[in-house]
Amino acid sequence: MSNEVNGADAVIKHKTGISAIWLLPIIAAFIGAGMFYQEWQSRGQHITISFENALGLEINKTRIKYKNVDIGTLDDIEISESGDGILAKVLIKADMTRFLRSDSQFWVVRPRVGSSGISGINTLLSGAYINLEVGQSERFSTRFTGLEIPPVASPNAQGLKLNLMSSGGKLLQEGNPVLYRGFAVGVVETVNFDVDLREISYGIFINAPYHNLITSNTFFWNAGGFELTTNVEGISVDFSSVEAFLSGGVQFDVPEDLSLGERITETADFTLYPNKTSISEQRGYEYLEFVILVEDSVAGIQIGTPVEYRGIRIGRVSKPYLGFSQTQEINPDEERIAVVIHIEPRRLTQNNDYSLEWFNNQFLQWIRTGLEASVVNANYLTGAMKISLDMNDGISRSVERFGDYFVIPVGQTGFDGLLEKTDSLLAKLNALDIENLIANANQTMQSADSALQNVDEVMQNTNNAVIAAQAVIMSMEQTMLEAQQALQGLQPESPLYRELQGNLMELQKTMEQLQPFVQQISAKPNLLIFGDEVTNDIQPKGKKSQ
Amino acid sequence: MIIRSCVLLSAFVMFSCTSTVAPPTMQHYLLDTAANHSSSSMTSTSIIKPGDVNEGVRIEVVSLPDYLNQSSLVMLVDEHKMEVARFHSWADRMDESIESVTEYETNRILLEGNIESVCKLCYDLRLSIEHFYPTSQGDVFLTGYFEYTDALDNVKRARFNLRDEMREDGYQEAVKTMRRMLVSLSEELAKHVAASSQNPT
Repeated sequence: MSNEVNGADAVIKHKTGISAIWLLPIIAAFIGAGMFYQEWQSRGQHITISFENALGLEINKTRIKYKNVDIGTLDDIEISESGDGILAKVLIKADMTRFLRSDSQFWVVRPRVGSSGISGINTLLSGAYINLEVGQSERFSTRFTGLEIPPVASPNAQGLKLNLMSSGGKLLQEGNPVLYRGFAVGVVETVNFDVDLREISYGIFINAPYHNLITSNTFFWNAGGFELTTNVEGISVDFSSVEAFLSGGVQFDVPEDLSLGERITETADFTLYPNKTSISEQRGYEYLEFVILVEDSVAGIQIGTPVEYRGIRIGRVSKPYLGFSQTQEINPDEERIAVVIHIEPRRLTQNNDYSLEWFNNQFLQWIRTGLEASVVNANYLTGAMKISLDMNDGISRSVERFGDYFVIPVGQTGFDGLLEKTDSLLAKLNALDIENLIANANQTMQSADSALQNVDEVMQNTNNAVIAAQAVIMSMEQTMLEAQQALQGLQPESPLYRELQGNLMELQKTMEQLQPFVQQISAKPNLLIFGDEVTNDIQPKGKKSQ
Repeated sequence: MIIRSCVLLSAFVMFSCTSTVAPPTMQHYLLDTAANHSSSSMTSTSIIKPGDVNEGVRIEVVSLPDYLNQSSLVMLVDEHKMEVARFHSWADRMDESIESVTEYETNRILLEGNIESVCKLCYDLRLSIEHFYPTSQGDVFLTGYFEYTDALDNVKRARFNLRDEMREDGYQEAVKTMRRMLVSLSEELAKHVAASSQNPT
């Protein structure tokens, strides 16, 4: 027996290739890559929105919403390089990146209180969020400038944007309504002050289809508050809507005397008038330019002061005074004040049957036959004046020119004319030198006996004195007559005077009756509540009873 | 018990504050009544005819003391103390009443005295009243002066100082006495007018 190890040589097999085990990590790597790609694909798009500040924004909490649907999250907030704002880093979901158009708008929705009401109350609990309003551009963008206040009108809304220029009146706020005959058809979008023009510029938006109402003859006016007008039918109060009455608004319409005009299809500038009445007063009319040369004060005359013909408004003052240099150029010796007026014939006629040229010729003809202007009081309380035109019959004159302007002569009417005539009368009386005249006459008469040859001269002197005195008396009579007419309303015989006197006497009597009562109340203020111990009057006693 | 006491106390306070005394009624007086005119033996048409409006004596009260230019009656209660009545009031203006009484009475006296020539002269008398009031002792005083222009255009002035006594008590009697004194004044006026017309120089 043998313990012999039956050893056999090991068969060594050389394996070729890679072990199958390596498939596992490879597969895992592929799976990981696929997951990474999928994650990368679904992660979305990073965009940057700039705001003035980060009020209400919280990283990883503030959502980005479009039509109240979450489309992204605020990732990070950085201060801009210039330091004048913040940059909100936002991740938009991948499937929402199609809304990232270059004209899309972002703004922060947070609680706001404005003239149009309270908005964003729901964010008190949920926190502020960034809202997206999608634009219409085809271009894709990742950098946006956020709006500090929400847009009043949707960027996609159909309609018409207009600019209204206002030089004063009640200030409007963003969000105030734009009304057409009381119906809200638009909104005030922006309010800016133009420093160069010194005017307030309002951007308004008229919603479709009401933008078709805007034509070249449309006039806009401030509809805030109410308008009180008085006429023969009484007092009427007009206000557009409760909202406009409280917070302001804009109303527009086409004046009745104008055609509708051409439709406005693009952004245009319009004037915003303070109220509806001022449209007819201030709106631009075709005009003829004349000048009146005023000798007296022009205080109370300003740009826009009415020019009337016998009470009918036919124009306005364009320049209360022409200016020193311009007057000097025209006539250095002219001491009167040149007031430039616009005669606006279109105020009188609603159609174009009569041309401006026809009116010009007609006015020149009227000036030749006696048309005169006078500065009269328009309001005794405020001291405002107006220009009144009237015909002074029986006058024939040529039309004067002052530079390029035709001159409407200034007439003497009312108190001014009366005062002037009174002054003229006094001047005539002073010029008469009556004392010397009488002295001369006496002297001549005394020497008449010794110098009969001077009789003719004496008679001539006396005759001249009588004629002069007669002229003065006639002038005085005329002046007194005019004074009587001017003061007729206040003469003791006039009904107004008697009525006034009667009222004053009645008032005095009432006051006398009230006097003891007032004295009692003054002495004892609680008299009205607790009354007084009423005692009868002490009366005089007759002699028989004493 | 406490509530009942409070209610009783409140009621007592409220009743204490309430005046139960009725106030005296307001009395109004006319110095010149229609009865004064119609009771005369002369009818109104015989005194002033429509065509003779300017032919009688015309009297104008040019001045009155302030206490007569108000509606309440007054009374002198002491040497310089005037009492203004609260419940006795004139129903008409005193200047017009005095004018009416004196003008009517003067013309009546002149006409009764057949002084016809005066009607042709058309005197205008200007009457100034300085004092016209009753006293608490029953005296009534009327003082002042009158001016008139005679037929020769001379302005003449004469003073009057009248005193009368009330026969009964009260403001009503005072008013009667005051009117009686105006009649006495009218007699004075008529005398001067008559003397002036009979002796114009």
